[in-house]
Amino acid sequence: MMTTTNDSVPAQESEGAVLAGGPKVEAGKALIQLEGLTKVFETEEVETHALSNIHLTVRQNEWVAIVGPSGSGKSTLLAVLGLLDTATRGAYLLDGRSVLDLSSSDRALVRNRHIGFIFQSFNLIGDLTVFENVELPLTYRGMPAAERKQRVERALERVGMAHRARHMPGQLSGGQQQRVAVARAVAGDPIILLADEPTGNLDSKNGEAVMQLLGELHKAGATICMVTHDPAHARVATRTVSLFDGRVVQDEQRR
Amino acid sequence: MSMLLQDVKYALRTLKGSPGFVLAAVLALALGIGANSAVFSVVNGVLLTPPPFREPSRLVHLFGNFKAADLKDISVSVPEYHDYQEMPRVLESVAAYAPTSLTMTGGDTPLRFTVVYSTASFFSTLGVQPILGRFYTQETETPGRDKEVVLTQKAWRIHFGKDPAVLGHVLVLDGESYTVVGVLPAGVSYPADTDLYIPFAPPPMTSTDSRRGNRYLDVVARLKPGVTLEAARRDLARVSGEQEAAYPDNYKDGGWGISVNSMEDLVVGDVRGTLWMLLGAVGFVLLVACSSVANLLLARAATRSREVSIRAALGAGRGRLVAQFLTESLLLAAAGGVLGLLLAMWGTDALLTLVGESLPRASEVKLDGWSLLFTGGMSLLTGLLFGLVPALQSSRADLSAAMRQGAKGTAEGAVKLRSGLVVAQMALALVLLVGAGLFAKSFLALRSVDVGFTPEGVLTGRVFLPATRYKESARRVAFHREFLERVQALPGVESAGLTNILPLGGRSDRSFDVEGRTEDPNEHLPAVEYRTVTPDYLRTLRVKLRAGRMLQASDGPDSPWAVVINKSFADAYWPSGDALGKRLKLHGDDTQWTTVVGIVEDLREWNLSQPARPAAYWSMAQLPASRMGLVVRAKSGIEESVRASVEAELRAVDRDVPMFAVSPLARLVDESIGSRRLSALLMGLFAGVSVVLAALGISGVIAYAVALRTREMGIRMALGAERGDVMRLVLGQGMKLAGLGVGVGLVLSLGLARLLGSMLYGVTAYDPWTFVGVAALLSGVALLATWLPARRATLVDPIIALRAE
Repeated sequence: MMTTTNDSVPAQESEGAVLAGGPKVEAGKALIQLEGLTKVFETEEVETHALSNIHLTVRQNEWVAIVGPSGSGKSTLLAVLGLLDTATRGAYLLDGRSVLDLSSSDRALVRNRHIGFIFQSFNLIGDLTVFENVELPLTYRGMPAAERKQRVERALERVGMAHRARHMPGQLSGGQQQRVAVARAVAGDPIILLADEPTGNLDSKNGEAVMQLLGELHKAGATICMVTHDPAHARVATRTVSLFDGRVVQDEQRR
Repeated sequence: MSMLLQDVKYALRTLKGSPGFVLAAVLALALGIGANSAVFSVVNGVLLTPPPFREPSRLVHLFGNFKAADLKDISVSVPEYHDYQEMPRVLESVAAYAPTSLTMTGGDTPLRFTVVYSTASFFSTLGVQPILGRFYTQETETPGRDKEVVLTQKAWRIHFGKDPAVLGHVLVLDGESYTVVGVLPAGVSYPADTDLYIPFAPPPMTSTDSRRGNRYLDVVARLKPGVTLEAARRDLARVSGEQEAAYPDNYKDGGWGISVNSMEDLVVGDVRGTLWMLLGAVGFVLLVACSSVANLLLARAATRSREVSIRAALGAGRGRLVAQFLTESLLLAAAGGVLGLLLAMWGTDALLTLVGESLPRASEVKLDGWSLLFTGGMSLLTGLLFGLVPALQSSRADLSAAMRQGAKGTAEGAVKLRSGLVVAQMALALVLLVGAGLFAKSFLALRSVDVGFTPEGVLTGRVFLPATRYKESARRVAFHREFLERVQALPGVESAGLTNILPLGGRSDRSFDVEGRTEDPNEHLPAVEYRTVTPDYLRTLRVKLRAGRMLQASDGPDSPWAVVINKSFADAYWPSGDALGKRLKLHGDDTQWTTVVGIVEDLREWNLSQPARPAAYWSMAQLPASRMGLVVRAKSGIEESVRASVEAELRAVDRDVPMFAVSPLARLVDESIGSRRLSALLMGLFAGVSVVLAALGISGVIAYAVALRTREMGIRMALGAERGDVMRLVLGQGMKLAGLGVGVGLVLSLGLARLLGSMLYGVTAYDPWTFVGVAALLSGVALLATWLPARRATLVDPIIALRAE
């Protein structure tokens, strides 16, 4: 078992962008670089180290599975990577740019343009149609309507949900909802996809289907960081980072 | 734009999904906005809309004052009017006028018109132009050449169908023929409700200095450009000083002065304070409504915190989120505004009905463009007001909540904010309750004033005899006798009488001498409320006789003159109680020494809120009036048949004399306190709405807090807490908020109460019983509102509560 972090992962050979039309990223380029990242939750009496001195580099077209027992800091790490939460100390470079000290609105901008999220509980907005849910991040980007429509249709076709575009989330099965969530995540051509237990709320059949979808995205060039507690799903990834008590305890690379 | 449309589209969809919330919010806003718009339309019509005259701010009224005699704002005499034409340096023009009432005959039925005698300068001073014909000229101010008439638009429309050929038409008014020479523009009718204007042509003798005391004219003047009210007052003070020096006999009583009042102040009178106060109060109602809706929005936002987190995770900045929430708020406000406007249309009519004729410029009150603009602005402002805080609060998303299943977002922060809003609601409701309590006490105190007569069952009307046909006293006396005999013989009539001025119908001060009383040179001339009445007048009003006798039929023209005085008069001049048999004489050529034959209780003849003044009731047979008020006490209530019968008898006596302003006396009494009733009623209504909203607010917040603490309740009960403990815990939370609100409200009320002081009667602005009473009432309501969610908390099943997480 490795007890230290490993940031010397060999460069991957890749076409570059996650999806056609997205920002061009140099093959094997380090997309995420964490240096001594620490996250401490403080209450009046207790100081909890959720993440301690994390060093981690994720390169373009890697599929990283983040694993570990409950409370090990997996979701906290993903939240920090997704700029949903801020670190207490350390450095975080996203595509070569430091993002730790960004203002709230700049963080929102980075999330919107560079990061795609897939949540365990899908997190579709119940009052919006499938089409509108996928369109939402593009709307926030201020993209013209015609381009939005084109991108949403393409993303929905990619996940096989184009025929459900006018449905409401409540009319879909869990598996279908997660496919829509994946479509929403990739519609904006992010440089990285962050998935938090993407199969956690699905039965095994639907879970496999979603993993297959992520595999297809990865093959097409996507860079994915995925939190999971399912060893089988972790094995599908090209790299597994294990956390325990907020520290990286193993970093296993597969070809 | 595309973003805005999307926000609107989404907002409409989410609101459609919450019909209960939308209904509650829109209703609360509609109440607040509608009430504000209704009161604003009244304020706008009465206070803000300028009179239809050129540069109305330069128009002033001049009145005489004898400060020593406490005679304020009295009319002026013809010689004094001439002084004002010549002596002041600050006036551009001056006009005199005197309202009266004339009867037009020649048609099927006689018609009464409210007529103003005015100098030719009246129209140029006001700054108006005729829309048809011309105004009369200065030549008409000579007796015999004064037979021209100018119509108001209203009279032209109602009586002549807006016929342009009305010019040259001859009207017979009180037996004299007048030729129509002009028509005024719409809206110009000054003083209010004037129908016709005819030239003022005083007989030459009234211009002599011996008639300086014969004051019956009102004077309106236009200040020179740039002259301030203060400068005008200084100049007129100089004029009054010169008058006093030049005519010491006329102004010997001291304290003579000329008051200069702006026309706007005079027209609006003491209603100004009441209307601003009501606008302030209804503004408080809107604040309470906004707090309520903000509270609802916060409650709703708590259930949407996960959605907000997702939106933020997907890249929505705080500005976008705030814009999204504000769009919903503004849509709610717009819906509230539209419904509020409908309420305001109804409310404005209701207000005008409630206030009756006691509101000046009531005809100017309407929901016009300004009112619509006000409502629109109010809707926008309320939308921002109640939407901004929840939007800012809700947009403070817990981003990582999107990562967590079942995350509850920012509930605790929202509870604090909602609690703050509830405290504000309670405080504002208490302020309104204090106001309502004070006005209610004031109104009840006025209602319980002993007016000195029994108005119930008495019908009143006014009858004016044309001067041309009733010049001689004997004819007037004969008319009085015959008319009253006929009325008293009617089967439904118990008794009837005539007076020169009906109760609460105006003042008539006359100076007099008391026999054997040496005049103190330092003392002002004694003045008395002058009434001339028929023998049954006081009996018809059921005025109580304290001593002596009432006037009798035998107190006729040829008998020794007799007078009945009121208690205040007797106490003031004969404090030792020996007024009976004493003699007094009114100043004037046509009076005699008159013996006091009776003393009656005081009547509130002028104003219910002011103590009775010395008053004396002369015999109408000895001082016959031509302008009279009729009182008729019906045997079994006032019925239409009584009125019809009285009018028929009047026609039988003189078919060209109409009876007008027919009204039960009780209504006259009621209308005299109309503005106070309105204040009490509206404040009560505003306070009621606010208390209901505040109660719903505190109940909602406590219910929400209980829902958040369900698990805690379960743990407490699992550890042995009894239902009473839980009840006390929740009630304590609610009453803490209520106590804070009541405390803040009491401090606010103490600060604001002094503003109400001048509007109250019989109760001080700091009446401790009112303050304690409303604080207790509001606390009681809060206790009840908190009890419901507290009871629900006691019904929590500990096992279910503990499983809930």
